[in-house]
Amino acid sequence: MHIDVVAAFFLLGALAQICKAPIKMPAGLYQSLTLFLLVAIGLKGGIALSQYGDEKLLWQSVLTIVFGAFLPFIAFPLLRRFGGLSRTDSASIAAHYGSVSIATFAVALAIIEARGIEYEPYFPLFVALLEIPAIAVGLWLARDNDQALNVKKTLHEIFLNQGVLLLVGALLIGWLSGEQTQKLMPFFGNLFYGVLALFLLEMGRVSTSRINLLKEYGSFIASFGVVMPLIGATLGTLFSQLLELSVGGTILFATLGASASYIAVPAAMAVALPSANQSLSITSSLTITFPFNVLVGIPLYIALVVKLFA
Amino acid sequence: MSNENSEHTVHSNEGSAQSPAFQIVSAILLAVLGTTALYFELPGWGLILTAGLLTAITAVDYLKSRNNKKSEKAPATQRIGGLS
Repeated sequence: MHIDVVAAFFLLGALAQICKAPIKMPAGLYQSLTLFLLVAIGLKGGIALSQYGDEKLLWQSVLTIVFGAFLPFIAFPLLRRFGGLSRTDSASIAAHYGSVSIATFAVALAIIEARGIEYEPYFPLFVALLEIPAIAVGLWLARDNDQALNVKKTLHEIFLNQGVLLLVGALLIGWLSGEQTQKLMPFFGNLFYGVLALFLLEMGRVSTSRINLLKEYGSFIASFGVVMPLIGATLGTLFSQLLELSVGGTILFATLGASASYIAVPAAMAVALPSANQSLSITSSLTITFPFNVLVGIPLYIALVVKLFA
Repeated sequence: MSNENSEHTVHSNEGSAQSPAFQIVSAILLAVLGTTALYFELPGWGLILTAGLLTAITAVDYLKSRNNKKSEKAPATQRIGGLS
């Protein structure tokens, strides 16, 4: 069984947590690594955007937004019908699964780059576009709730949360500055894999530390956390054919469909749906779906897409 | 941005009160997909292992909820060990 080198760091973090080994990373460092990854991915996409921007990109972007808005409509009835969860909790979790995890995307990106698989270099634009629509759909799905929606605060959280702001900001800087951005790339380009490895070490520890919560939430959420990524990856693969993406692009789109947000959406939901159980949705996306995608899903999506489309 | 921002007072554990049909179907689906993947020389071991883990979690969850139901149904005398 072959494990990618960055995924191996995730396993190391998980193992350290299981053995109660003291490798906890300072909170400030974890934050810094997150900022680095967001800016690095955004800049890379921005540079590509300055070289490739054309009409095709416009309808690809529109279809990407449609995809992001579509996924919660699949997740929501599963959570309501089979999980028996409340409308608010179902809507909140559905929004997490419609949105994307930048860390999962970074892992897929690192693996396909290491294997030399070609992909659309402006892909970070799609990542940024997929962050937002699911939150709006999630709020709409939870609509007949008594809670009054604080529109201003919610919009602030949706569009100005750290993930969206840095990714879109770096994308714009890379796009507007074009070749000049190359000056920054020795830092944001060459260090990318090392930073991702350290980030995954901490993620392995954090996600394993929450595993006890599964006892509280029962087996449904564990099942949902692995079935929904497979549904999302399948739909992502189908959508990528509509978008006429390359093999690498198809893998990345399948990965985005499979991933669930644990950064941007929780922040927005905490403001917009305060009665939703945040712990339940983060347990599902971070403790189940993220490790499943890193260790099982991404290698499978890559192998399957390469076999089918290469 | 923090992953630790999950403190909340509302805890819905309604999921485990439902029938485990979804969990069973999911585990079977994963096992079938994993086996099919292996047949086509794709990395399917992860899916099979996940199916096994899900089956174990579902079984533990089911036994726990059955025991809870039993203890709820048991007459008061039985529950206090016949001391009445």
